[in-house]
Order: sequence, then structure tokens, then C-alpha cells
Amino acid sequence: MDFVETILNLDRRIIYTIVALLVLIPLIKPFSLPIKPTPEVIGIFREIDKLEAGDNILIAADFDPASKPELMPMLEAVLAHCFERGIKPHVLTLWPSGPGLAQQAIERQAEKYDKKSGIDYCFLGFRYGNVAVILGIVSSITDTFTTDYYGTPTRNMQIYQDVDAVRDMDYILDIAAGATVEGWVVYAAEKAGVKMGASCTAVSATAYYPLLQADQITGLSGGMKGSAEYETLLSGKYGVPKGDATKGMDAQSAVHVFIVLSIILANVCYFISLKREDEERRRA
Amino acid sequence: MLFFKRQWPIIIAFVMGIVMWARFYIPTEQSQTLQDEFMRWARILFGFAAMLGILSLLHHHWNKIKLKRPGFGFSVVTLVAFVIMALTGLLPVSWTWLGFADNLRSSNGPHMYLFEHMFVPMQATMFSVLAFFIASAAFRAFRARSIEATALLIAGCVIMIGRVPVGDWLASVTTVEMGSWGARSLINFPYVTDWLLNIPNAAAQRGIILGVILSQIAISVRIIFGIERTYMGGGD
Repeated sequence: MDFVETILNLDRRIIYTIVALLVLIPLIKPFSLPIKPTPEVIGIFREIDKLEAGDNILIAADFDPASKPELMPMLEAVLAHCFERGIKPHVLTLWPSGPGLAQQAIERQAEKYDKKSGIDYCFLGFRYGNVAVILGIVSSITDTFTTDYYGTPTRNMQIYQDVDAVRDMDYILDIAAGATVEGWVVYAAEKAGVKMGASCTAVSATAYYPLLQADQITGLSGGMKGSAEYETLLSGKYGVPKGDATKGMDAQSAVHVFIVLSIILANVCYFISLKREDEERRRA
Repeated sequence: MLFFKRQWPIIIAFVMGIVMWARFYIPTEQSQTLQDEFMRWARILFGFAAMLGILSLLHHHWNKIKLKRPGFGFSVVTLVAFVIMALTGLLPVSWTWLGFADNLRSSNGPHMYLFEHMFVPMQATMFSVLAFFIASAAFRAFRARSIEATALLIAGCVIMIGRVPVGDWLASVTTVEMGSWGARSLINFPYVTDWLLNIPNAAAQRGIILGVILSQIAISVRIIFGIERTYMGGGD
């Protein structure tokens, strides 16, 4: 069997091993490639950075553990940004398996910045209903979420004395693994006249470019790269240590390069084999 | 009885559809109150839908175990996991004797412990396995067999490099001074990626969005007027 045939019939276990090594090695020994923030991510960072201490931001953590590596660093970075600037985040999720991750992120960041639940932030948790929940909080947050995640009545909370609906928010950010961004844009941001940003998985980022171009969202963060860009911006301006997304970028770069090179190699071999078959047919 | 099975859902769909549509054009306080009330109903209905889903799941797996169908062992695991997760999340008992926090919602509680140490790694593993399959599938099946496939292949490869830091690095190391044109990068994947995402991709996505929304309007009108009846479980 010559090289071309070997490549075309390569055992998939070899590919799996190479991918595993390309993920593991950069995670163990990072080569720290520079991360250049794109205008899409700067669009979110700039809007949050413009807010003043005491302003309110609504963060929808609409993702589950499957998208944790891509979106959890974004949630952590945005929460760190809010607490660093004294902005009050109101975190909720429309995904049933979302509260656990959101709780981890918000408790970790709140502890780091010594912030108090019900005063400096509120974790509203999960409610069933998708668009019905969005429309509910457009009318009243305390009516839709009568208690926060921990069971404390929201109406008596200090944070909700001047805030009762989405129109009282200064920014909305949907960190989404699914198709919730459109719902937030149409039923919350547009209806209440509040600016909004979106952070989503890399595969779904392409779907939101029309919203970005129409200024329906101020910025768009796609996948782990978007989260890493946000961490870079936050680190550059406030010295907040970079998180897991930045650590994962080297591994992602290595695997992407491998996939591209393997596609090129496989196609070259494929065309050589086609040419050979053609020659054999002509000879016969 | 047949009336409640066939005509009654159509009447409800028609009345609710027309009321909610008309409400949109009546910007009064009463109209807003009406919507808030209906949204409250909707959230309650979603809760019941979730209950129905849970009952259906339990029924399916219980039957599989009872009839000892192939793979019933997985159903046992599903039911045991379901009961444990539900009990640790719902039972108002103290778990301090196991070293957990007293508050069920605490991040040190038993439910969150299982979520963090079982659910998160398992779901993350399922999703990360995709990377291996994609790498293998791309190597084996991604061939430039036609013009369309070649265009997709080139665009895919450019975006894969343009959306990771190695693309920025390549652009910076290949930057050369080009006289009056200033500094230009010879291999600029991020620039091409940006163009692909903002021009052809955005144009196609806009078309898809318009198509989806027009279809949604059409299907809503069909449901309101009782033409589309598949939501009742039968054919149209």
C-alpha cells in the first residue's frame, strides 16, 4: 500500500489520537498565541463599560453543560466586569439545566468581589416558558420571579426597589447555546427599548450577523474565541486574570490547523487516486 | 365527546389567536393586563407540559424494564438517576451527616454536588466527543467533488483558521510594508473570514430569517383558522 492509499484508508483511531494529543499538549504547555479582540466582541464590552456604577444589566444564561467550555467563561468574564464597575447583574436562565452553571459562576464572582445577593446582584434562577417568561419580565420581574433561586422573595429585595421590569435595565446580554437570542431581541430589547448583546456558541454565531448589521444587537461573541476576546479586553483594561477561554484557545488553534491540513491532504490524495483510476481505465 | 375532541380545541385556538393578535394593536393598560394574565397561564401550562414529559419518560422506561426489552439496564440507570436527583433536589431533609450543606439550593448541597460531578462531566463528554467525530468525518468525507462542495470546503477552511488566534498570528508574521499602500498582510485569514461572515453569510441568513418568519406567519394563520390541525395529534 503506497502513501496515497495509506492516507485514504487511514484508521480513524490514529486521527482520534492526534486530536487528543493536540488538545492535551497545548493545555499542559500553552504556547500563548496573541488574541486580537474583534469589533463584534468590542461592541459588547464597550456597551457594558459605558454603564455607570449602580446601573442594572439583565444576563440570560441560556446554556447547559454541553456548551460550558464555550459560554461559561463569557458569563464569568461579564460578571467580573459588572462587579468591577459596580454594575448590578440580574441573572436568569430559560434552560432547565442552566441554573447549576449560572449559580457556580455568580457565587464564585460574588465571593471574589464581596458582593451581596439581593443588594449588588440577583440570581433569579429558572422559570419554564421561554417567550412567556421573557414577556412576563417585560411587564414585571418580581411578578414573574416572585422568589430568587434561593427562595428569597424578590419584592422585598433592595435591588428591586427601583427596578421592576426590563425597561428599567440598562443592558441585556443573552449568553445562549440555542435559539433564544431572537426571542430576547424581539420580545425584550425591542419592546422595552433596551440595548442588547449576544454571546453564543461558535456554530450558531453565523445566524446572528443580520441582527448585528441591523443594530438590533450591539455586539456578538461567538464561541470560546469570543469569550477569550472578552477576557483579553477585561484583562487589558482592569487587570482581571484571564480565564478558561484563553487557556483553551491554543488547543482550539492546534485542532483547527490539523483539521484544515488533513482536509487538504485527504483531497490531494483523493485527486491522485482519481487520476490513477482514470489512467488504469484508459490502459484497460 | 367528539365535540370536545375536535371542535373545542379549534374554537380555543381561534379565539385566543384573534384576541392576542388584536391585543397587539390596542396599547391600553387593560390590554397589557390581559396579556400579562395570559402569559401567566402560559407559564403554568409550560409547567404541566414538563410534568407530562417527566411522566412520559418514567412510563417509557418503566415499561421497558417490566417487559425486559433489549437495553433495559440503561432504563434502570435512568430511573435510579432520576429518583436520586429528584430526591436530593426536593426532599427537605438535612444532608449534613454526609458532609453537605443544609440548604438544598446551596452550591455545597447534594443536588449541586451530583450536578457538578456527574451531570456536567457526562454532558460535556458527550459534546466533546463531537470534536473527534468531526475531525474524522472531515478527513474522510469532505471532498471537493463539485463546485458547490469546493466553495464550502474553501470557506470552511478559511473560517476555521480565521476564527482562531493562529489566523491573527499568521496575518501579523506575513505583514509587509507596501509603499503607499502601507503595511499589508499577505496571508490574512481573519480579513477573509470577516468578509465571508458579513457579506455572503449575512445575506443568506437574512433570506433564511425572512423565509422562517413568513412560514411562521402562514402556519399561525392556518392554526387560527383551523386549517392546520396536526397539533391535535391527527393529520390535516
